[in-house]
Amino acid sequence: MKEQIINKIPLRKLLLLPIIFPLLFLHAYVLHLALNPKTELPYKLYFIDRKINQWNFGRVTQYKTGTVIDFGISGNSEKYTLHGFSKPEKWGTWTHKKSTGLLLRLSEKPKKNLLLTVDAYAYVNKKKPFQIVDIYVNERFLETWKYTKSSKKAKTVIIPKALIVYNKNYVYINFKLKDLASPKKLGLGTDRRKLGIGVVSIRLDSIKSAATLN
Amino acid sequence: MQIKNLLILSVVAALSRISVIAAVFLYSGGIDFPSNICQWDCAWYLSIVNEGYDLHPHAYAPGTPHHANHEGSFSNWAFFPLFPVTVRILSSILYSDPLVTALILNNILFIALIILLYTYLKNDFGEEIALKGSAAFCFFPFTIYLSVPYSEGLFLTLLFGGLVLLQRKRFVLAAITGALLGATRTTGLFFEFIFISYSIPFLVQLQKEKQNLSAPAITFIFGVLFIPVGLEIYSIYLHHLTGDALAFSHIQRAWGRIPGNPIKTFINEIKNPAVISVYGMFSSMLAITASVWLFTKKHWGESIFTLASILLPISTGTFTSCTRYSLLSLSWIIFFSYMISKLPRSTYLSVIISFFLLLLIFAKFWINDLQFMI
Repeated sequence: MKEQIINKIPLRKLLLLPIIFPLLFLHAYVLHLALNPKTELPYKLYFIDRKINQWNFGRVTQYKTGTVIDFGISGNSEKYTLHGFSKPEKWGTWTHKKSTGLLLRLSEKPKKNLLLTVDAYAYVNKKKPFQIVDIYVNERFLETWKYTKSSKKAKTVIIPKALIVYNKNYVYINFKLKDLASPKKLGLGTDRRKLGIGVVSIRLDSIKSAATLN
Repeated sequence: MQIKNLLILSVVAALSRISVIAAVFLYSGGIDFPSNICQWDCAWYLSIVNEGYDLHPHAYAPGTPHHANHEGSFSNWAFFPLFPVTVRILSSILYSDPLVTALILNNILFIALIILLYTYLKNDFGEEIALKGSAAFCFFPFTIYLSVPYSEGLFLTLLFGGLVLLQRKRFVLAAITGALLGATRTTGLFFEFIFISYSIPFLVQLQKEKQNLSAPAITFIFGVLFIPVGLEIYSIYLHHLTGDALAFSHIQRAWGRIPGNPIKTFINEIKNPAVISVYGMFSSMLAITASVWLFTKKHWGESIFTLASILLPISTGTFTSCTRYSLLSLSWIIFFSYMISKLPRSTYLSVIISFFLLLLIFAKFWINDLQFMI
């Protein structure tokens, strides 16, 4: 047996050695594909990132630019919100997680860049004088907003058209907050939720017709 | 002697399979036989054979996957291609119905599996254990899954084929078998452990004997790199179909399977026990025990292969299907065959008769679509 193996050495070297390098390339290629999925955004959010709790493929709510998403109790926000939002209240909705997201699909392909307007308060007080919010759209960082007691209610950021078109008109708006604290923990109330920002409304406008909510 | 044993085993294996098929046929009253033999995951495999892989996740309806409904979250991507592709090719060649083809294929493979099991056991544990053990395995109730259109039959046949090749130091062929295993089930990738466990002692032995190591070392590197190829080809295909190379894993969420810590699954089960899950947990413990036993017998490759194959599904937070995975796992089959062959003759025979009756009862459970048979 061993003699047979030794006799096969040149042939093995000749056959197997050239295959080893393509195999290494294949593994690298598959690793690249695995790390860079090319799926639609709802699939990625549900199956890969597991940010959505219910799979509603084909049922991502259509959105017409200029429409106000109202976060009040009688509003329409629950059609769009995915994660990190509390139950809507009369005035709007609190976020209570470090990552908060909503997903919508534009009813038509944007011709220009879009303006995202977020009308919101932050949970700020003497013990927590400011709140930092990073704004991501379709998983790309756009801007950081600092909320203080004297901040303007409505803040805006431009969303590049290409970011929407590349994602087949899906818009995943993601607020990332740091250092959340509950009123109970701060000794300012009984609410155990780690409050972030209280969203009143959100609107997307084509950049030319953009107008702040104020 | 060996040919006689192989003939005896082939006949025993064939008789056990004829009994299973006949039992399903009789329980079905003949007419509903095709729909009765095709339960649970069988419908998914047939959907791949008949229509190929899904383009989108879709709603789940056991036995009738709806490809038009895009609101559900299920897809046949979770089911690896080698078994359905083999059925499709054979079915085209033989002009036969895919379900019938799958049945014929699996029941022929069962005979091959028993012969390979015998060969493997004989090389490592001796003639008597091999003969008595593999004959007893023919009647093990969970072998029902090896007769129905599931991929377990092909997987175990390839697995024992790979093991026999490794015992014979045919490392290149074993690596090719490993790649085929990876294209049959996710856990096929763990054949790496077995391959390494056989190759390294061989290389060490050659080194001790001061032989030239260059060719065996190249073979070893080739084998380690080649085994994942089956799974990788499927990944590339899925990437081009769905955009997600790991869709086979991500789609598991539809079945409530989310990767996590397997210990948490045990803890959750102990906190909130449910009958079916306890059944899965107990079976998993049996397979883990068998793996530990096999480890003490210095078959560490087989042992780690089984542990990884059992812990992978458990790590997804559920014991669903774990009875099937565990009681048809490599360690359990070896453990079962070894232990049963040590029984006194009369006990051995009575256990086999009991198992045979249980196998027939399992055929009834199978056609009744019972939840714990999933």
